[in-house]
Amino acid sequence: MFDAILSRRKALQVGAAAAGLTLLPARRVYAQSKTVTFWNIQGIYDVEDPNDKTKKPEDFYISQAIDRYQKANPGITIEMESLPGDTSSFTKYRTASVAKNGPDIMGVWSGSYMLALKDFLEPTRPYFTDEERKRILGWDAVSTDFNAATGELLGVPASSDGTTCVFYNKELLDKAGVDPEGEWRNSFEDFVAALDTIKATGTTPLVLDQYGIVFQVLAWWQAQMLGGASAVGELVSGKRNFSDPPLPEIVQQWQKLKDYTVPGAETMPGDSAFRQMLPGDVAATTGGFWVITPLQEGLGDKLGMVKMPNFSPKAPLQNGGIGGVGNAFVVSNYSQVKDEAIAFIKFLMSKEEQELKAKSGEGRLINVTDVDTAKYYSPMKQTQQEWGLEPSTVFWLDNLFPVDLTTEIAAQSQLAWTGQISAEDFLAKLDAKRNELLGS
Amino acid sequence: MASARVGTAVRGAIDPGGARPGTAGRSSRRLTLRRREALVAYASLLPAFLLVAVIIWYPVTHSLYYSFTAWNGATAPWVGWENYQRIVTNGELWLLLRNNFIFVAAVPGILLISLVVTVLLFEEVPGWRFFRSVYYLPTILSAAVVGTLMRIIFSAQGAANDVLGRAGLERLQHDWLGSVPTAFMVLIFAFYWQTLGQGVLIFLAGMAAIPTDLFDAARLDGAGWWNRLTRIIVPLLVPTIAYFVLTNVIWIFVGLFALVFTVTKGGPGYATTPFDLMIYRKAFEAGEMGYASALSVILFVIVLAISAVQLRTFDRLTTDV
Repeated sequence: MFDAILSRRKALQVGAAAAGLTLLPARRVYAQSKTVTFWNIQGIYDVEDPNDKTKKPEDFYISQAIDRYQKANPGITIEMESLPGDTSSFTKYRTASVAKNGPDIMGVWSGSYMLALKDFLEPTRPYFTDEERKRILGWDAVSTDFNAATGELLGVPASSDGTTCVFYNKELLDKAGVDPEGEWRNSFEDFVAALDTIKATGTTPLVLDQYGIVFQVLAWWQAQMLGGASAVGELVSGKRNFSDPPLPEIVQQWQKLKDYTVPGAETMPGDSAFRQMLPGDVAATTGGFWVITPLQEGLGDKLGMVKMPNFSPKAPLQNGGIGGVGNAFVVSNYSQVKDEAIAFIKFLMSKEEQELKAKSGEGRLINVTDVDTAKYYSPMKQTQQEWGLEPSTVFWLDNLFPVDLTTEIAAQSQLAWTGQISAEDFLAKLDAKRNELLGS
Repeated sequence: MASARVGTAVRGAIDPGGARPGTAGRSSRRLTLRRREALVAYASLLPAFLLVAVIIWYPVTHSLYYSFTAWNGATAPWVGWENYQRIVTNGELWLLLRNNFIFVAAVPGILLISLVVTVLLFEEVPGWRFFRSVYYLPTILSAAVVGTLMRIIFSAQGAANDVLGRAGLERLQHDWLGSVPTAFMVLIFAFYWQTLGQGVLIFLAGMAAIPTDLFDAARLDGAGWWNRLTRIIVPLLVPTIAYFVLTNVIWIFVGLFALVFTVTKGGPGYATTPFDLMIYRKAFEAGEMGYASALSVILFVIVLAISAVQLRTFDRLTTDV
């Protein structure tokens, strides 16, 4: 009967109407739902544990935070992708941004690494009230002229790296009769004397990697002898030359460290040196708070931490290191969901979430003023948290220099460290590159 | 007679101008057919032509344009010849050329090794069956895999130094990737290792075309192994050698990136940085895409010139042979 009544045309019309009806609610939901893509680089938020491969994504703080946010904000989906914690991630962001198909939010290294991407970044000042900004530390590191009061803000400070310092094996220093808190940190000569003492016991005194040699050790001595980040800025602007005293002398002395380190430092991948302390036959390394957990797991109570050695007791800046708020969130200026992206960043930086992050012990150190990290951090980590905020901590020089100059420093330091070029040639090449970038 | 008819028919078919009186209609049909065939040919070529235009010529012409700008991915202000001036005056061009030509200078080495291995395989020396089954393996590995392997072996804490240490040869332990000469040696070793399979395959194919009675006659005449290699094999393989050299020289200019990036990252310093790695660094790490475009244009011209010279040289050699 039904077949007889319903013609083919009618059947098609009914079918089309039914399909339309089923699509209507879906379309409404689609109109409400928004997806925010977030590229997290390894280290800003942990997504794997090298010591526990059984951990699932949902076991990590950031996955739980995303879950909480999505539940509190129906219709908003956060899609996170994790990238390596090195400059290759910025290359990927740049490439994607040229085609305008990068993420809405990305975690990046602040300073010049971030500023190199400025053509693709949304200014963030209009999205934050003074009150909101005040409780977050490190806005200078995301401003165009490293001064948050005057510069344009192109990101949101995400976390602190603490400060780079010396991590040592207490047993090996004891064996050599070197007091970690003693005078060996007073000057370069005292430092080398201590290294000689350690070496005489048959222990390799130091293990450093390609970033450690230049952006932790050499950078600290340069910064402390020049008097801090503002003087370092004069190297960038051309007011001061790399070849000017006292930098040649610092480089000449720095080159001597090669004889005390595990061979191949200049080609050892970044952040890999500290793992060579685990077998227990290397006395010390340099690094930031991120080496605490893996070294403590390997060395236990034998691990000690002390500030970087001073180059000279006459240096204008003493007892500090390199570090600070080295990470930031950025929002792409081509994003279709800028407001939602900023809202998610604010959620991650909220007091409640920062407390949960500190409690998890994952990721970098906290950079907000209203969380008492001492309640959550181990004593060593808490010390890092405090040292990172001291005025003697100089912001990462590689984050202060233009990317091209940083690349040049990294490349030429390999030759200088191994003595294939002299200290003078090394610094002259840096002056030449700086002048080329300045167009002079 | 039969053969004459066949001859006429064939001549008529292949000679459109040879139409006899009274066959004008058939001639015009043939012309139409010809035109139609031409149309079909052009239509068949069009997709490939469009594809080449879109995938190759559009980026090439864009690169040429961008080489005169300070393109950073977002904006591209016109700077004229500034990028080219910088490349020439900052010393980068000469450094990159030097690095690439060090690799080019290594091509005769792999050519000789490939030839010798080919002849050994061709002459079925003991163990040839085993070697024939494995010689191509390194070639099928990607450059990134080969590079990572080399880095693991030759890093300061790597397998090479470990083996030397265990053998009591600590004095020979070396920071292979940290000093310029040995970093080049490692890279050239990796290049040889990866290219040997390709070379042997090409030369074996070339040798298969050489009549075996030539070798038999040479043997009867008392020609030794070296004489057979230099007097018979090499002269008759000139076109194959030309192909091998040409493709490898081009590859050295445009394909070294993955190998160098994974082994030395262009270091120490920029001592092992070839042209293509520097283009990547400038474009994607420093964001100087205009400058990188200018480097690309220079690389294009260099490869074009070197290929033209090589082709002409090998043409002359082949003609002489």
